[in-house]
Parts: sequence; C-alpha cells; structure tokens
Amino acid sequence: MLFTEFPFLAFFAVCFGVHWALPSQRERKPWLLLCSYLFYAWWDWRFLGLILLVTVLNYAAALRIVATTDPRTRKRWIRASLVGSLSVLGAFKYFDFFVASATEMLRTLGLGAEFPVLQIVLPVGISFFTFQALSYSLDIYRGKLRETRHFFDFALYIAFFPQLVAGPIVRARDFLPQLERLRRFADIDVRRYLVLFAVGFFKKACVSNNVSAAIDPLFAAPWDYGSLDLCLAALGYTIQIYCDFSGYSDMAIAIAGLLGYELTLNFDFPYFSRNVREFWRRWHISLSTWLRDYLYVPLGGSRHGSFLTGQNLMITMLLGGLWHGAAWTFVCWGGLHGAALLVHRQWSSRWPARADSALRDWTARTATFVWVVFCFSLFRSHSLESAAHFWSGILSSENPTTDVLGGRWAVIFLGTALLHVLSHRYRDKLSGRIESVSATTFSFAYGAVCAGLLAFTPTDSTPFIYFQF
Amino acid sequence: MTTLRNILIAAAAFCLFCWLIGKPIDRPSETTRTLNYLAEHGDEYDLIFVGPSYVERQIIPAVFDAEMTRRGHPMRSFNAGFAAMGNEEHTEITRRIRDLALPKLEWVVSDVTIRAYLRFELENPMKSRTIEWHSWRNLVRVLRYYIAAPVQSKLWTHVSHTLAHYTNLGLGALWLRGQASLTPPILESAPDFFSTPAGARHHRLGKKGVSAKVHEKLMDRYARCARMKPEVSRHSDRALDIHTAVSDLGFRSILVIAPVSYRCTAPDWVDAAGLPVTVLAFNDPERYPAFYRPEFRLNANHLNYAGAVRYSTLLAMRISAILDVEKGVGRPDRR
Repeated sequence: MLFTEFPFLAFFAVCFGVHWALPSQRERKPWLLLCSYLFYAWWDWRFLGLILLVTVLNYAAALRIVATTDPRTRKRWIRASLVGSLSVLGAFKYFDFFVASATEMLRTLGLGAEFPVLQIVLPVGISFFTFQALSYSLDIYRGKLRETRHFFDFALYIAFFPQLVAGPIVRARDFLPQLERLRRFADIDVRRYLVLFAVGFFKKACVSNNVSAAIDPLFAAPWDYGSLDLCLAALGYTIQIYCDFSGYSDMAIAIAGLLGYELTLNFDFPYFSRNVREFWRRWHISLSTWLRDYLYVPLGGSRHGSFLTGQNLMITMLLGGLWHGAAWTFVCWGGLHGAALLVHRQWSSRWPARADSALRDWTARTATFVWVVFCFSLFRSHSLESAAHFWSGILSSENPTTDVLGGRWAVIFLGTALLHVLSHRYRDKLSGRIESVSATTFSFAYGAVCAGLLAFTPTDSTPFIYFQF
Repeated sequence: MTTLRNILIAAAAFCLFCWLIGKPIDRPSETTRTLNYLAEHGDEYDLIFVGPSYVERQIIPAVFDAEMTRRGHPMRSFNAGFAAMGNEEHTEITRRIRDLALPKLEWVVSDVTIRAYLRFELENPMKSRTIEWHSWRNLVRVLRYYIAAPVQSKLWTHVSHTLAHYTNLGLGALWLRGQASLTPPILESAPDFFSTPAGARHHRLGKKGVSAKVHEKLMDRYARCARMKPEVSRHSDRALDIHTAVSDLGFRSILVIAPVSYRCTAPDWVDAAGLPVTVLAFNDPERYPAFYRPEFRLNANHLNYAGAVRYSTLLAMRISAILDVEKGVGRPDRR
C-alpha cells in the first residue's frame, strides 16, 4: 500500500474520519495502532510478529533499566536491547550478505567453502523501526528520556504508520509527549498539510516514477549505452532518489500532521549544499542525526585528535552506507562520502572559509552536486562491477553511441532542476500566498492540481526506494 | 457545512480539469496509428509480422520482400511489431487486423520468442497502446490472464490501466515519456530508413557490433540459459494460443523464434513441444552462428542493423522454402 495509490487514499480516508470522530486520546491511540498494524500487514502479515518482538524487547529493557540503579544490571539490559534489536536486523537484512561475501572471499583464496544462506524476504522498513526502538532504549539508558509505562503508547511510537516503513526516524522524546496531548481538529493546519501532501505526491508519482522508468534499463545494462545517456542516467537517478525519498517524507509528515502529530524535517534542499558536510546536514536529516548521536559521538566524535576523529567518521559513514542495504555498493558509497568528509575537514581547517561571494558559492554548490551525482551512480548500480561498467561507459568511446534518453529527458531534467531552484527561492512567498487565499479559491485550485497530478502519475506503481533499506 | 462545500468545490474543479487536461494529451496510440495506416494502404499486403521488439526492430519488410521476389514468391509484407507485446495484445492486434478485411492478406507470422506469460503489464506500463486495449471489451481477457498468472501481474495495474483508458489518469505521464511523439516505425519500411541515423536511433539498431567483452558476457549468458531446463509446456501453450487465435481469425499462421541470447528458449523446444504448426526457430548458435557474432549484435536481446538485414533475408528464405514445399518443389523443414 503506497501513499500514492488509491488503496492507501481509501485506507487513510477511513482512518482519518474515525480518528477525528473519536472523542479522546484514550480511544484514538488504539485506533491508530490498529490502523498502523493493518497498514504493515498489507505487505506481509507475518512480519507483524517482528515489529511486536522489537517493541516488546525494547519496552521491557527500558523498564528494567529504570528499575535499577546498579550500573551492571543497567548495562546488561541495554546490551540485551542492542543485541536483540541488531540481531533481528542482522538476521533479516545482513546475514545472507555476509555469508555470500565470506564464501566469495574464501573462493578467491582457493578455499571452496559453501555456507548456507537464509534467503529470507527483507521485511519492509526494518531498518527504520529497529533504529527508532534502539534510540528509545539508549535515551532511557543515558537518562535523557523518561520511560513510558503505557505499552500501547510505545507500540504506537514504533509502528505509527505514516513513518513506519521509510521514516523519518522519529525520536521518542519528540513523539511520546505528543500522545499525551488531546488535539482538536480545528487546531490542525489542514491547508499546510494538504499542500505538503500534494508536493510529496508530485515528487514521488510525477517525477520519481517517470524518471525511474526511463533510467532503469541503463543501470541494468550500462555496457549497452553511450556516455551521454549514462551521464543523463546518473543525473536522472540523483533527481529520482531525492524526489522519491523527500516526496515520501513530505507525504509522511503531511499524513501525520493531518492526524495531529508533528514529525521531524527530513530534507532541507540538500542539493544546494556548499560542501559534503552541509549535504549530510540537509540529506536524510533524521538518519544523519541518529548516526551522529548514537554512533559517532559514543565512538568519541571529534574529541580525541584528528586521527581518531577521521577513524570515527569513516566507521560512521561505512556503517551508514551499510544501513542502506546489504551490498558492497552501499558500503563503498558510505566510504566515498566518509572520505569526502575527511577531505573537507582537513581543507576547512587549513583554509578557513573566506567571505562569501556568489561565484564561490555556486562553484562550491556545483562541485558538491557533481560529487553527489557521482556517488549516487555507485549507490544505484547493481554491483561494483556494474558501477565500473557504468563509469567506464561514461569515459569510454568504445560503447555504441546510443540516444535512448536524448534531448527530451535532458530538457525534463533541466525543467525539474529549475522548478527545484524556484521552489527553494520562493517557498516562503508561496506558502504565504497559499495561506492568504480564500477557502473557495484554495479548494478549487486544489481540485485542479489533483487532476494535474493524476494526469502525470504513471499507472504502474514503483515502490519507494527507501522501503528496501 | 463549510467543509462539505469546500470538498464539493474541489471535486468539481477536479472533474473539470480532468476533462480539460485529458483533451489535448489524449492521442491515438501507436497501434491505432499503425492500423489506421494499414486501413488506408492495406490493399497491397500479403503478409504481416506480429510480435514484440524482435519483430519491431529486426524485421525489415523491404529486405524481406526483395528476397521473396528474388526467390520467385513476390510478396508485400508489413511489420506490426510492438515492444514487449504479450499474448493478449497479440490476439487483440490480430483481431483488429482481421476487422480491416485486407483483400490480399493471407499470412500472419507471429514471434513467440518471449516466455509464456510475459509480464506484459509490467513491461509496458503506461504505454498508450496498453491503456488503449484495457477497455471493458477486453476485461474478461485481462481477468483471465490475471487468474492464470496472479504472481506475475498485479491486479491493480490492470485496474489502473482500465481507469486510465476512461479518465486522464497517467495520460500526462505518457506524454512526458514521449510515447505520444513516436512515429509508428512500420510506416518506414524502406531499407534506407533503417540505415539512416533516425531509423537507427528509433530502432536502436546501432551499426557497430558489440565489443568482444560484451559479446563474451552475452554468450556466457546463453550457455547458462541453455543448461537450464527449457520451459517446454509453457512455451508450447503460449505458441499454441497464438497459433489458434490467428488461425481462428482465418489467417495462415507461421511462428518464429528470434535469435536471442538471454532467454532460455532452447532450440530443442520446438521438437519437444511437437506443435502442429510450422515454427521457424533461429535461437540456435550452432545452426545460425552468424546471429551470435559480435558484428551482428546490438546487445543480448537484439540484432543490430546488419543482423536485422541478415535476419530478414533468412526469414524470407525459410518462408519461401515453405511455399516451395506447397508447390511441390521443395523439402519440408519444420524447424
């Protein structure tokens, strides 16, 4: 059930109607939990057990941690929470990858060992809900959060359907207090969330899905295409992944907002970043901050000299890459970004930024964007070998000259980029204008926009890229 | 009351703009434009090739016709190939060709290379021709397909294509992808079209062959495929379905398997299936090594321009041999 499909819209209409018809939070919370489990079960009901397992484990561990002051007992329970949650993630997401990699390595060394693989289907959104659960236990352990005694509140925090399968990764300290407050529908900024939903829908359905259909064959067999097509494919994927993921986040924030809950911002125009560091502050913000708070800082952060800082940074980025998927392409992608962050760190410490100039600003933005495009071409490739084909295809003149994407798609990509620039520049003005129009005008315009969105929505459904992570 | 009024206003605007947007971007599909052309010029054609991209990109009618004439069987052929055409669409197009009542048309040559139950919905998302044939008239056929292969086909995709047929859903996306601006390829049947940059680009018939490295990969894939168990029953079911449908429409039917290197259409399939129909199978590197040489291939799926010329010539040789047998001057060869 994708946010852009009619079944979801029907599901949400019922969920929304009943939610606001219920008089108090006492009734609304079980209803939302029921809807969330139903939403997840739509993919595969068997994996509901997995969410419940992670929920019970972290809920119980948190209660045990606060029940004692003995540091050893507290440590034992936080370890139980970490090991349990990460084991679920490891078994379902990484086991086959590590076994296959070990087998391959032994084969390379001339040792023909074969290890059994589990071949389990990857549960949708597993990385998101385990990270959410872990952040709760860790915050309790560090004393940064008060535990909740209401199991259903905690279960709803883990399974809240707008952000269940692809984030944003919500922190318990942001979400749990919201469950206590009774909201009135009249207090909801419906107009703002409807616009945000339409924006997200446009990004996902009208841009990402259409671009995906055009560029997928090029990544599947890069050796069949010429360099211009491959360059456009790399650019296309950069547009696709941003529109796909930030579109999903926009819709998730809008859906949660319409139900009376605030989710954190996940994207802040990352392609306008002037360096890689800034990029990671604007791209998938909820993951970057999670990795910073629960991995980079506990490793030592930047407190122990430049060598250890570099090491911590690389570990964080490599694991961050691995979080995205069980493949070497993701690990290398994280490694490339880690290396770029290190280079930037050294650069900025030796040559501190001078006064801003428009030229320097746009040069830095362009260089960062080119780097991001380059890295995403690795991220999208099926394997390191395929990525090598892709890059050699861009540089080589040996491949047959093809014109599959051609000028038409170049124009579409440029148009999308221009739209992005304009929305960045005029967003405040635009939102002020939307706020100021009358309800009649807004309703009429919204109906017209929906017609336009549906016209540009392909009828085939393309899953969100981040569902697999 | 105000909320209800706003919802009604939005709904009215939605309907109005659906209609307004749908008008300019609603164009006849490539199939319809092709068949319209055939309706106007169809008096000349004796044979029509129907099938997926192996027909669309690889059969050059002018080359085929010239070879047939040289072999004493003057004939005009027409290429009605469309990328990733599945069984259901094949039958639909053949039916529409029958409805044109072309006076000279006798033969329908159908390409059956692709696997049974090709995921035709997923291979052809949002193509105008896919939306076009998702009408109420074909609903039963679509549902039958879905029931036969529910795993490979999403009911939602069928439903949304049907919705798109009757609303503006996705028509803008269709336009965006440039489908609407395509020229029906078969109209350009002169050999010089295929050799021009426009023709080559349109059909992706590169003039260069594949590199040695790519070729090695391609043949390795074929070798792996050949080792796999052929899906005899599914192939023969699919082929028989097409043959029966074409024959029932009153045409003489010949089935063709193109020289691909990624599908496991083992050459033995034709013999193993024992079909009561002529199947011209070219998917055999031992019997047709030329098609598997790097200089004749565009990629794993398709031949390049030189390969297409050779393929069209060889097809003419095989079909003229069939006609020779009918005349009593040749030896039968059902493969």
